[in-house]
Amino acid sequence: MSAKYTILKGIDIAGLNFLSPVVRLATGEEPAKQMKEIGRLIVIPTLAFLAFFWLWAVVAPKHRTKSGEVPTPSVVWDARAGIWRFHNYETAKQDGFLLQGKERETELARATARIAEVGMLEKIARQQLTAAREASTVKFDTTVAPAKNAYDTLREISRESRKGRTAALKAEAATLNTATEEARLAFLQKLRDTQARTEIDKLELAKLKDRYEEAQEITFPEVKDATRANTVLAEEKQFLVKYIDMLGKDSRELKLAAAKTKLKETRTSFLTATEGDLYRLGSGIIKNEKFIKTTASSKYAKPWTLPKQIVRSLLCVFAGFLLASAIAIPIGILCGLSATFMAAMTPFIALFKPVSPLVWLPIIMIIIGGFMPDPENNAFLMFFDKVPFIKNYKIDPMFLSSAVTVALCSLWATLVNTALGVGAVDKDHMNVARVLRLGFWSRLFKIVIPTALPLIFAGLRISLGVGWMVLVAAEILSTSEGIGKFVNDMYTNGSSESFAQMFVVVFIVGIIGMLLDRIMVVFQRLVSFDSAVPAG
Amino acid sequence: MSTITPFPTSAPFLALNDVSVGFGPENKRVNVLENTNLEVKENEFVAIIGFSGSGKSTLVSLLAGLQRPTTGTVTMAGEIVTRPGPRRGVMFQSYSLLPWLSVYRNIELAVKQVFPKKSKVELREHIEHYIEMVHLTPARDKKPHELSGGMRQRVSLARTLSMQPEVLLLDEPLSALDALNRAVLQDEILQIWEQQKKTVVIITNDVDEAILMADRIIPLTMGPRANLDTAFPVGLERPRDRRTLTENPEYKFLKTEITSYLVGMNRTANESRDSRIVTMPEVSPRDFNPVSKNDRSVRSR
Repeated sequence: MSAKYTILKGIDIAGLNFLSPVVRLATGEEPAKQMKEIGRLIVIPTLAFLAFFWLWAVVAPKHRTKSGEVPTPSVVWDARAGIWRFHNYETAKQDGFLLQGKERETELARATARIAEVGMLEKIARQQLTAAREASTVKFDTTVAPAKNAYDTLREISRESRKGRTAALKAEAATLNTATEEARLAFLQKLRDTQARTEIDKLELAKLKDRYEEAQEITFPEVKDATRANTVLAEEKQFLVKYIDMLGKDSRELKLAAAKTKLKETRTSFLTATEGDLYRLGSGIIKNEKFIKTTASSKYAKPWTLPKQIVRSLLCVFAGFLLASAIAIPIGILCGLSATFMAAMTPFIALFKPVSPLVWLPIIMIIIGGFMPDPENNAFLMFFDKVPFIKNYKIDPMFLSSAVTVALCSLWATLVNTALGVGAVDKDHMNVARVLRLGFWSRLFKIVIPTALPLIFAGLRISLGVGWMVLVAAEILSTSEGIGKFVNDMYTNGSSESFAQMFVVVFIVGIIGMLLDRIMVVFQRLVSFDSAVPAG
Repeated sequence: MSTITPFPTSAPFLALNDVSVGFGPENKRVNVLENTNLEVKENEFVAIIGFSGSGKSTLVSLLAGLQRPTTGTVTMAGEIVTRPGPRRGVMFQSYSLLPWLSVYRNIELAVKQVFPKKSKVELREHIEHYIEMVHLTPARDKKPHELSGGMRQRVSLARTLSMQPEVLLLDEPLSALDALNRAVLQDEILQIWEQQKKTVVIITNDVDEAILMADRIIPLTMGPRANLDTAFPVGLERPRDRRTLTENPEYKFLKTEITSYLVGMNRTANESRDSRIVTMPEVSPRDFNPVSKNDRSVRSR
């Protein structure tokens, strides 16, 4: 029983309220009521989501762009797989390059076997594609050809009949040289009728043309699928070729071995060489030694993949968030404690709060650039190259600029909330502090800050949300590696595949933002003393 | 604080000397308290009784040193009180416990501050002693929001007592509690007071409570310009038992006396208020146009 309430409490703290009727139902508590709750909290939102996906799938393909039609949910899902494949291939290459001895050989054998397999699969896939294409041609012919024929035939007929009518009228006109006024007017009427007839024919023709064009819109999902399967296999094959090279002749181990053998040979011949060759062989040895040294510590230059970019974006947003908190909380406390200080800060808050990140970023990039004219040898940046984990994410001036921009745009919520929280200290609590004669710091840490904590965390939550939104924009503009950079690259690339990958980013950014918010909600609840939360 | 100067028992231990407290600018000052005098002897239990809004809380703030008088002085053991301190422990009506701290930690905050030299063990023993004194040992690690009103006020009492103040100032400590809890706490406070005699000033609006607890009951006249009137001495023998007290003729006499005094005071105050009829400025709307379209009387026309 108590376990159940612990779970329910946990659910409440995490803000995952939709789970609580499930837990209650599982323990058999008021099933009818719980079913109703499940309907409201789980079924309805799910249906809403499904409706959204359906609408998306219907509407998206109707709009054509220079990057192909707007991707449907299933295309976006495939694009997600594409991003993941690319990441896995690159990681495999990176790891493979460093493999040694037996391990390398087994891996090489596995890759070689796989490439043969992929070759077979590719052959089958190609046959399937050809078959699909043929089937589609047939389908195209059976649906489009009749429409085209009808259109062509009618066009021919109407053209012929128009020609005939024109010729007849022209011939008649020739006989009207001496005709009466009446006869001439009758001819004019005939001319009008003929004209009207032609108009009707034209309308009919236009109708058929529409029908023909509509038939041409026909899509062939099986051809698309087959093409996609082919592309995937081609990608894998391309990867395997490179991978086998990396495990084989281009592997660090073999390169080193070859260089060492050569060094040994050169050395032997150097020791027995005559004066003419001594200089050449000697410098050869030195060059070889240098080569061995660099190769021994070389790595595969892995390109940035989205998972790595996401981690870097998270690092960046947390760096900015920490900076914002470090600035906003102390200033907010001062604002809350002193009305005078608050009055001094108010104009700054009002003035700088609405400034867009897109204005801050270039300014900050220039300022930070001024501090780091030579980023490669900057002591501050080189410090991060030694920090484990962080060293993999290349802290550069662009990263710092993005983080500072995030801080500048997000600190306001925390600042204002902290000031509010500190200002809301209970007068009775202050009286207790006065009776106890608590000093300034004791009052601050024992009474003021604990009171303000829930509001401070509410501010931090807003700040983190703002920061995450600002970050993607900042990365696009600063081309600092991260999610924003990925979006920018995909935009520049302009293929329909990268178009779909941008949609994937929408969901990734959304989900991460949601998780960050949830985490902050949990923190907020943990520091709120009025909710029944067991702390420590 | 460590050296308590010996004090002649006959002289007042805690006193208000011609104290006035006013608000507003000097030429238009409204006095909440005016020329108030109070003398409390050492170890005396004094109740101050009055209607709400008559400046009772101001009185406590003055005695505690949380508020300075506009004129006159507050003295304790002959010294002028200039600021609050742990020698005069205050128990507030609103408990004023820190909601993020447990019972233990709330008291610890006070004890650590008042007795900084205590060792860890001494500190714990001291705190636990006072928690036990108010019968809260089972709730030692609970947060205030997990406690009932009576329990919260007990924590507040324990915190105030743990500072070992020479004077206890109780600002309507029980008025937020229900009758049952109130009776229990009254008995507890009395019991503690009997054990360790202290100077106590309790503010209350409950005549029974005042008679049960105090040596002297001092009525506070109606504000503004409130004042302390002549005291009613309570000669009832201690320890007093609330079950037999109501039968006691002296109790009955005192209760009638004080109640009729308070009722009379209320009547005088109302009469004096009636005599001060203020003519209100004539306020009639300038604009007789309909205020809104939804006004029915206009629409029906």
